[in-house]
Amino acid sequence: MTTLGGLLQIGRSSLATHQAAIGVISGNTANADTVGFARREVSMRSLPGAGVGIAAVMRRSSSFVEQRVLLSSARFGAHDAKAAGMSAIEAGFVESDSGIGARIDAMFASMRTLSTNPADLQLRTDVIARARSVTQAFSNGAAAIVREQASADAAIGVEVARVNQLTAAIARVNEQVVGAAPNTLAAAEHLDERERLLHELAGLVEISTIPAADGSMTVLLQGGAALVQSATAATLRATPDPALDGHRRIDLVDASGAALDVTGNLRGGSIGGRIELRDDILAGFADDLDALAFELATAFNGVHSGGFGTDGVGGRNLFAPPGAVADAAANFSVAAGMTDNPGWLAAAGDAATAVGGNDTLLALIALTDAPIAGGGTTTPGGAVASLIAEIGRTSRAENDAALAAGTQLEQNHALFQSETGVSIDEELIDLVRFERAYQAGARIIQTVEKLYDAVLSL
Amino acid sequence: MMRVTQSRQSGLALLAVASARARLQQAQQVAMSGERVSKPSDDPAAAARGRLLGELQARADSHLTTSQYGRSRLETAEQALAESGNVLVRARQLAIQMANGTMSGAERQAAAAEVAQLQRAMVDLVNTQHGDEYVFAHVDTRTRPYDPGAGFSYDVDAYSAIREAEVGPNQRVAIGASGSHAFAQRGAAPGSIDVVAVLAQLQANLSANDAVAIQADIDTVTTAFEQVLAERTRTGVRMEELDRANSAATQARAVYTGLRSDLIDADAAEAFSRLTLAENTMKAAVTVAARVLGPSLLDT
Repeated sequence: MTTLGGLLQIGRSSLATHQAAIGVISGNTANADTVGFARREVSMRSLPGAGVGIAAVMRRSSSFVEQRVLLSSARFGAHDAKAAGMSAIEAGFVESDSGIGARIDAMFASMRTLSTNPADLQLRTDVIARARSVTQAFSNGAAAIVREQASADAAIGVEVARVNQLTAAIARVNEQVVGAAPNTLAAAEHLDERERLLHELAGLVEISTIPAADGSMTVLLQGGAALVQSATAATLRATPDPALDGHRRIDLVDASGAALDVTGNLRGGSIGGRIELRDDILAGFADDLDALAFELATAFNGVHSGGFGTDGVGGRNLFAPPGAVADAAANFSVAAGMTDNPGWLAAAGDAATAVGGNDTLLALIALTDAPIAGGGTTTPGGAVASLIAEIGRTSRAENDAALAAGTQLEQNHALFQSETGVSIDEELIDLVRFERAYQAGARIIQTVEKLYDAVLSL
Repeated sequence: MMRVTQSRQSGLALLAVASARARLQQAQQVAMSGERVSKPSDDPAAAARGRLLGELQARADSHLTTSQYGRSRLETAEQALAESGNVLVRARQLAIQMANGTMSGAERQAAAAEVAQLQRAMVDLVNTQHGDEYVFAHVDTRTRPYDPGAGFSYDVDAYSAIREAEVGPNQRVAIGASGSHAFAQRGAAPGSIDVVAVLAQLQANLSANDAVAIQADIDTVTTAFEQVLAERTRTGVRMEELDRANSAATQARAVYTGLRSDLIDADAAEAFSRLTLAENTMKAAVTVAARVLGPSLLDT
């Protein structure tokens, strides 16, 4: 039979337990909007002698949904980075009077006008100015691509530094989790922190996680290299590499100092997206632009060198001959001396008609319909249109992919929130429940007090 | 059942409002710019086709400019040829009058003076300029084609072609008249006559009071007139070709402009309709967000 003292002990345990439970509810409610906070749930157990106590403070979690959030964060990070880069690039290829296509049109138009009066110095000067304008459009386009590559490269450097901060923090939190008693408020706080760090890390690089029995979390990069293992974090090192045009190569450096080049393995997260943007997408457009500049310069020079200037001299180039396809757009320019000597422009087809002939000019004009671009498959205008379409398609595809990845990330966040988030309604219901239980515990103590009074008044 | 938390609800509300604002911003951009495709990613295929149509439009513009300049040059040549014809008509009238045996030596001297004047006028006509170019100078248009003392400055047999210009897709038209065909005696064309020399010959025969020779000059002046007239006719044909090319370029320009507008430009009614829809969606999103974030057990 329970003594009056035992009854008091039961009442006291009820008060203490439900007060603690109300404390947990208060913490949940206060952190309803805290990013990365997972709901705590009180688990009670009966004590010997019929009292009650806190068995554990459980933290809601879902490793399955967590993995989906990490994966979708990486996808969104990659596509968002590529979409932003493409938006910046396509701004330089918007159809306008200053676009490459319009400038080529203007050059051909100036040649047609000159063909009506080939000896006119002003018209000759205009053709050369239009040709220069074409070369500037190419070099501007090449410079815009280089700028965007440099911008992506600089962002990679900053983000790699952030990855190293995050992995170091995760390793530190791993150590704290292992040291903390399981299923306690302290352990829950460490797990919240680790989850927040992992979410941010997944936005930067694609990772997968493997929980260990001691509560620590192993973080792996794509390809299986360990970024964090227990309390040890590897670091990413970004080093300018001549093989990448001076852009940063990413090495994974482990605790022993051994380095592994992972540049090609990083394809998710904003770092992976920027590497793909820098090394594949933008490099591809730069190659296309170089090829078109090379083909234009070569074709125009081929015709122009067969003609004669007003001085009766032939064999001159209109554009500076490109040495190679590489960097042909950046180095695209009008041949040396041409700007200062408009008479050098070869309009005539033979020396005898050097002053007023326009045969070579008509042959140059005919290049507008000649398949001199795209490896001999399309016209200059067709090549520019193809380039614009390709840039537009890539930009749109990345924007659409970023939108889809963002929606998927949002859905996974919703799922994650539904698993781990705080619902004010639930907390208020639990608050009322625990308040009632607390009042019931107090009533036990009041009742025991009355029983004591009754005994003492005998 | 899926748990729905307040944090999740507010996140969704924010997302809905942000999405509505993005659509509103896009609709505003279309309405303000008047362009459905303002950057390649708006519609990559349309942007590429728009570029090709832009090229065709610019080419049609260029052909218009070329044909207009060519016409202006041809008009100058045609006027000069017409005036040359008038000169030769007057010379022929004088030759016919002076071939009559009743004419006195003094009258023929007076006629010789007038023919000398006609000859100078003819030289000026052969040296007619359009802007800074001599229109009958073959290709070397900065050099006077005819010198009264030395004759033609270029080899009229070697250079009889006329400058051509592109006035349409794969269409070139001669934009001048041939001085050698109109005024010169060419080895390649038996029967052709040096028009200035014909007038000089007439003037000499008038001065010499040689009625028989003057009679013979009537035929040579007539031949010269027909030679000039033939080139004038060819020039007229070229002008007609240019007019047709100009008309085709004008039509092509209108067609390409319309096609490009259909591709790139936004329909005003549709743009404003979309803008209104986006504005209403934005208002609805904000209103719903305010209501979603409201009720909870705290309100009871």
